[in-house]
Amino acid sequence: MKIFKVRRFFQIFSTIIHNGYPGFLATGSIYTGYFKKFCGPGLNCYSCPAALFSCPLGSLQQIMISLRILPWNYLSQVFLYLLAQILLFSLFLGRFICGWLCPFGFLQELLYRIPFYKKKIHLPFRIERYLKHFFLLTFVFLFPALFIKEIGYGILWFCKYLCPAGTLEAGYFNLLINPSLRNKIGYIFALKSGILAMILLFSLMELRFFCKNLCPLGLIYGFFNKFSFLKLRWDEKSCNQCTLCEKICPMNLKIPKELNSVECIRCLNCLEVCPRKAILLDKNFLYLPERYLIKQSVGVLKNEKRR
Amino acid sequence: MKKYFPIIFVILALISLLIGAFVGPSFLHSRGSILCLSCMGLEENEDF
Repeated sequence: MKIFKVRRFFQIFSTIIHNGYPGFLATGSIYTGYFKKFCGPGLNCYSCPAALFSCPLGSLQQIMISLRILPWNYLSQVFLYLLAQILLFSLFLGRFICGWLCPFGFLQELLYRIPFYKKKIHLPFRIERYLKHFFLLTFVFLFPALFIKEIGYGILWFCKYLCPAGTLEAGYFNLLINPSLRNKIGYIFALKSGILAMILLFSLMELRFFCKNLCPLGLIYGFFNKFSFLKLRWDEKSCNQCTLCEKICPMNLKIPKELNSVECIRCLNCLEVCPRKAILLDKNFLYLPERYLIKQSVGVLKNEKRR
Repeated sequence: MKKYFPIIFVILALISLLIGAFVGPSFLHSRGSILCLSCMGLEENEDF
């Protein structure tokens, strides 16, 4: 399992990079340095004491809550800056970020390795498939812009009421290192802790439960899976229909039909397990000149034959 | 045409980055550098 080991290394390395500020142990406060000007690719709360980068989802909501307070031309520039980062992440990597770089995805994979009752979780009418669409539209975009507090700012709905990474990394770690925050614990913290506990429990039962059903960031990256430079390709001639790829897929995808679907996290398990190497990594951008050359040479050969 | 979408999107992203580069980093830095009580779930007494 060569790819699996490389992926594990990437996940560990990325988690360390996302949370690469050990200074919080001395200062007792979060990182406020240069790297907070940029978003990290994975779901990692920017209020975590060790977090180096800003969170793309949190930053999106920060723009939405400021719509009634800050000037539009200023906010549109900030939005373009954020959009550019998300676009570049999505285009170059797509959901490869989920499979290889996201700290919360890594945590879920570790949890699933714990021996426990395993079961795929389904809700009536399979609505779990559309929960992340709902959360992206409402909790990230609409509600932060619509529901305004007296001072004019909105509320970070996803961060405040749902985000399990925020509860775990920011909530619990800050409470540990900063006892003065403990008097602020209230019913919202209890609600968020309950949601976190449920997500962690479901992650013990089903691999990557949060990624499959709830993560709006994964959904954003997933939209670009079809256009990403990093794509998977199925070689029909080599395939012997053994379905090993489907059995090993952590997202329960129907391969090859859903090979480049929104849900594929590019873990490359299918590529690794395929005995006939029928699934290949199609590096769209990098292979373009080669294809062009092949087409050109075929054209030259045809012309020579005609002569 | 579809195969050029990634390159078109990259160009759009780079243009967006250039336009937003003047104010974007300071906005992200200012919001990312404060202890977000909402993210931690430690805010409870507000009306909305």
